[in-house]
Amino acid sequence: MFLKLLAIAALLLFVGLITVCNRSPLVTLQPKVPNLPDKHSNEPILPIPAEVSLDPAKVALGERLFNDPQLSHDNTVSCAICHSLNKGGTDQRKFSTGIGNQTGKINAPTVFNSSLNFKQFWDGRAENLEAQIDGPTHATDEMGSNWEEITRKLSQSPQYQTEFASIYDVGIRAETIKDAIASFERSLITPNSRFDQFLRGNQDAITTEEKEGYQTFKSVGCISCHQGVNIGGNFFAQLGVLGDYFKDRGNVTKTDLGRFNVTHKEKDKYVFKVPSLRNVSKTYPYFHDGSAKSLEDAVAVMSKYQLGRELSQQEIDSIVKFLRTLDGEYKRYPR
Amino acid sequence: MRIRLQQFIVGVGMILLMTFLFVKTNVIESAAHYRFSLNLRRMKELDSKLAKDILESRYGLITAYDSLITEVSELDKLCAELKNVPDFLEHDEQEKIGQLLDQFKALQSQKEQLIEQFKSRNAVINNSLRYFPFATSKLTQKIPVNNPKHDEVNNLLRDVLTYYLVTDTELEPTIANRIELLRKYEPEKLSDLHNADLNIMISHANTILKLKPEVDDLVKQIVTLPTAEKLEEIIGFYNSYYNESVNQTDRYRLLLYVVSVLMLAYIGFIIVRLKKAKIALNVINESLEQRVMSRTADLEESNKELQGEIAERLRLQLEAEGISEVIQGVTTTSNLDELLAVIHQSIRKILDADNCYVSLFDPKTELLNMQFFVDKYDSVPPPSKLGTGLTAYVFRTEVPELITTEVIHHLTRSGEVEVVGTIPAVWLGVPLRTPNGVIGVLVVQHYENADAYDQRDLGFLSSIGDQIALAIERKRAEELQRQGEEQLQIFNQKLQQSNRELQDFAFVASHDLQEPLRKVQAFSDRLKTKYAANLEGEGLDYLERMRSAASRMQLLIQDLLSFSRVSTKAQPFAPVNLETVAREVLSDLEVKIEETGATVELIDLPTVDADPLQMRQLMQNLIGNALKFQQKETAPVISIHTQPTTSNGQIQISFTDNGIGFDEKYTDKIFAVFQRLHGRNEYEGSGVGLAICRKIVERHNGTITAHSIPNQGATFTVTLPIKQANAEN
Repeated sequence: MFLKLLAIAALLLFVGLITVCNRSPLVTLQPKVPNLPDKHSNEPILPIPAEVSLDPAKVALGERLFNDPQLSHDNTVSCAICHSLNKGGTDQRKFSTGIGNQTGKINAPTVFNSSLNFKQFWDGRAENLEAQIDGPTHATDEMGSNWEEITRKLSQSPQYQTEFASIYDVGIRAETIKDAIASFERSLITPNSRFDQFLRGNQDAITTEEKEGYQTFKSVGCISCHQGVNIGGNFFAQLGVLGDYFKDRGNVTKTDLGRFNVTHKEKDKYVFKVPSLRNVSKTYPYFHDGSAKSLEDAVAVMSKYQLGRELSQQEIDSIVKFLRTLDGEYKRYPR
Repeated sequence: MRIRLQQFIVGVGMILLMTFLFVKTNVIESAAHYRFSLNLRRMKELDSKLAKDILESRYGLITAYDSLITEVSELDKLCAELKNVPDFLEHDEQEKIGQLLDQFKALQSQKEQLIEQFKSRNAVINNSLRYFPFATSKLTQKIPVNNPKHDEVNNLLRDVLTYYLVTDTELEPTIANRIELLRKYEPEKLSDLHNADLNIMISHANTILKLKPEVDDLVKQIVTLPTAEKLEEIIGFYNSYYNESVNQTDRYRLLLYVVSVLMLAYIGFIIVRLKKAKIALNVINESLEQRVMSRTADLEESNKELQGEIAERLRLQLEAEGISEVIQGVTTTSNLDELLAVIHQSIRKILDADNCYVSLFDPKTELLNMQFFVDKYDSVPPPSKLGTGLTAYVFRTEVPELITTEVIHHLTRSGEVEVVGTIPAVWLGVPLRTPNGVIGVLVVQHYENADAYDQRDLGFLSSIGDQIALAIERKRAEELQRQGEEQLQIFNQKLQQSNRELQDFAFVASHDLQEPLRKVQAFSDRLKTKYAANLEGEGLDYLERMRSAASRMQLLIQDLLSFSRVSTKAQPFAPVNLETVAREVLSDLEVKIEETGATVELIDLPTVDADPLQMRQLMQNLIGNALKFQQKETAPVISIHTQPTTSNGQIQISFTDNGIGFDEKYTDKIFAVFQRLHGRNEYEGSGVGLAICRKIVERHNGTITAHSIPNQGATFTVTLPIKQANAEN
C-alpha cells in the first residue's frame, strides 16, 4: 500500500516537473523607468508640478505632529512655531526662538517646497527631509528633545497609538514619526504662482513690468544661481564671490562658515545652499543671517557680493516686481 | 520488514533527489535577473546622460541644474537597489559584484563632489563672463578714446575672452600683466565712480582668469572618472556569472530528466509487482474469510447457549418473584378479586397467555365459578355444572395438564372432554390444591402459538398453583371473618335503633297515659265527693281501691316518665360539685331525716363533669333508698364518701347504710325497671329508682354496683369519670 502511494506521488511529481521545466525562462518584464523632466525647456525656471502623490493618512498624521509641541523637550515648541504656514513657511524673524526662550543662530528657511531642494539646511547637511527632522528636534536651542523622549510622550496618547497603528505596523517609532512629518512636508508645495501660470503659457498671468523684471533677473545674472523648478535649492554657492560679504558685515560666527562645518574643506568656507526664491516676498528677513529686511535690500546685497555689479534702483525695483509673482498657492492635502 | 524499510528509503531518497534537482533547475529567477540587468543598463544610460548634461551646463546649453540633481539621485538610488544581487549567483560571485558596486559608488561620490564644485564655479564664471563685456564697455565709455588706457581695457577684454575660449593658459601672464597695469592707472585721473567700475571689471577678469582652468579641470575630471568603465565591468562580470548559472541549471535539468525516466521505470516495476501481490493476497483473503465464517458460527452457537442460560436464570428469578408476589398479594390485597388480578399479572410476566382464568368449585352449589377470567376473544362464561370440559377434567383428575390442539381433539373424540369456546393452540391447566382437597383450577392458554408453553411452564404453573390455592384459602377465611364482623355491626346498629324506638315509646306512652288517668282520678274524686253518701261500705271500698290504684298508676307513670327522661331530657355536662348537690338533697329530705333520726356524713365529695339535675336525682334516689330501707327501731347511719382512685381519671363514691340490705343474688334484679324485692305494703315505691340511677350513671359513662349482707346494710358504689369528653366548660 505504501509503495503504491509512493509510486503515485512520484508520478505526480514527475508530471509536475516536466510541466514546470518546459516553462519558458524568457519572461519579458516591462521596466519601470522614471520620466525625467524635459531638460530642453526654453526657460531656466520650471513650474512646480500641480500634483504630488502622497498617502493622505500619513499627511494628516504628519500635520498633527508638525503642530505638536510635544516634540520639544518642554512641550512649548512645535515645528509650526518656526515654520508657520501663514508666514510663508517661516516665522518671519531674524532668528527663531527655541525652548527656554533661547535664540537660534541661523535664519529659519521656509518649509514650503522644501521637498524640491536637493539637500536640506543652509549647509546641506541633511540629504532628505527625514534626516532634516533630526536637526531641530535635537538642537538644544531649538526643540531640545530626543526620540526616546518624543516616542514616550506620543505613546501616552491613545489617539496617536491608534493612528500610528493604522498606518505603520511598528507603531510609534522615530522612523515612523519622521516618515509622517516628511510626508506632510512633501505636501507643502505651492504650485500655480502667477509666474508658473506664465511659464505654462498664460501670457496675461504677469504684467509687462513683471515680464521686464524677469528679463532683468536673467540678464543681470541672478538666473545663474536661482534656476530650476525651485528657483534655487539645487547647488551650493559661496556667499561673497565678488566681494567680501563677511568682512563688510563683520562679527563672523561659526555658523557663517556654512558648508565648511560639514565637509571641513577650505573650499567650502562661507558656502551655503542657494535658497529657493519661491514665495520669497513672505520669507523675510533674508539670508542665513537674516540681515536683509526687505527684498530690495536682499537684491542689492546679492548683486553686489554675488554678481559683482551695482544695480540701479530701477533694476532692483524691476527684479522685485518679478520676485513677487513667485507667490504660489498652498492647497491642503494636494493629490 | 527489512525489505520494506529499504524500499521506503529508496523511495524517499528518489523523491528528495528529484526535489533537489527540480529546485536546482529553477534557481534562476528571471524577474530578478531582468530587473538587475535592466538597472545596470539604466545606470549606464544615466551615467552618460550626466556627462552630457555637465558639458551642456558648461557651455550654457542648459541653465538649470535640476537635471543634474535628478540624474545623480537616480544613480544613487539604482546603486542602492543593485546591492540586492540576484540569489542564483554563487556567494563569491555576489561578493565580487558587491565589491565592484562599492568601487563604483566611491567613484560616483567623488564625481558628485566634483559636480557640486562644478555647479558653484560654473555659475560664478558664467555670471562673470556674461557681465565682463558690459563692465569693460561701461568703463571705456568713461575713458576718452585717445587715452592709451582705453585701448588697454579693450585689449584686456580681447585677451580675457580669448583666454576663455582657448584650451591653454598661455595668455594668463599677459592678462595678469594688463590687470597690473590698469591697477597702476593713475587713480587721481579718474573719478571714484570710475575707480569702482574699474575694480568691478578687474574682479570679474580675475574671476574668469581663476575659475576658467578650475572649471575646465573639473569638467575634465568628471568626464574622465571611470564610472562608465566600472559599470561596463560590472555588466561584464554579471553576464558571465549569469551565463554560468544558466549552464549549470541546464546540466541539472538534464540530470532531472534522466532521474525521472529511471523513476518511471521503477514505478512500472512496482506496479507489476503490486499486481502479482494482489492476486496472491486475494487467495489468502478467501481462505481467511472461510475461517472467519466458521469461527463466527461457533461463536454464535456458544453465544446462543449463553443467552439460553441467561434466560433460564432470568426465568428462575421471575418465577421466584411471581411466587413471592402471590404470597405477598395475600396481605396487600383486600379481597379475592384483587388477589386474583395480582396472580394474573404475576403469571403474565412469565407466561404469554391469550387467556388466563381461575375457576373455583363451589361445593354447596356444585358449580364451577369463573372467579377470574381474562381472554383475548371470549367473554366471561357463566358458572357451569362440573361437566366434561377441560377445566373439569383437570379438577377431577387433580393432575396438571399441558394440552395441545391434537390432544384436545383426541380427548374430544374419545369423549373424555367437551370443549367450550375457542379452541386454543395450547392449553395449560393446574389444579389448585389445598390440604382440604382441590378447590379449583388455574388455566392459561394461547390461541396461536402452540409452542407457547412447555413442561417447564407446567411445573412453574403447578407450583404457583399450590401457592395460589393457599392464598385463596387464606383470602376466603379472611373474607368469612370480615363478613362475620360486618354482620355483627349491622346487628348492633339494629339493636341501637330498636332501643331508641323503645325509649321514645316509653316516653310517649307514659306521657300520653297520664291524660286518661287524670280523668279517671278526677272523676273518681268527683264521684266520692258527690256520691260518697249514697254509697255503701262495699261500694265505697271499691271506689277507694279504684282511687288508690289510679294513684299508684300515676306514680308508676311518673316514675316511668322520669326514667325515660334520663335520656330524653338530658342536659349537657358541666362541672358539678357533688357536695353541694348532696347538701341540697339532704335539705330537701330534712323532714324525713328528722323523722327517722338519721345521721348522714359526707366525706370528700369532688367536683365532676356531669348533668347537674341528674346528679341531684342520683343522690336523691340513693340517699332516699338508704333512709327508706331502714331497720325497724334503728336510726339510719348513712355515709357518703369518695374513695380516691388514680386510675383512668375516675372516682368512686360509696353510699353506705345500715339498713335492711338485700341478698346479693338479687343484685341484677334491683337495678331493673319495676323490679322490687319487697311488697308494696312494706316499702312504698314503684321500683324504678335504682333503674334510673343505673341509667344516669351509664349515661355518664360510669358504673354502679351494689354489695350487701341482708339486715346489715348495703353499699352502693358509683364510679364516674372526673372529666367528660363533651363537657361544657
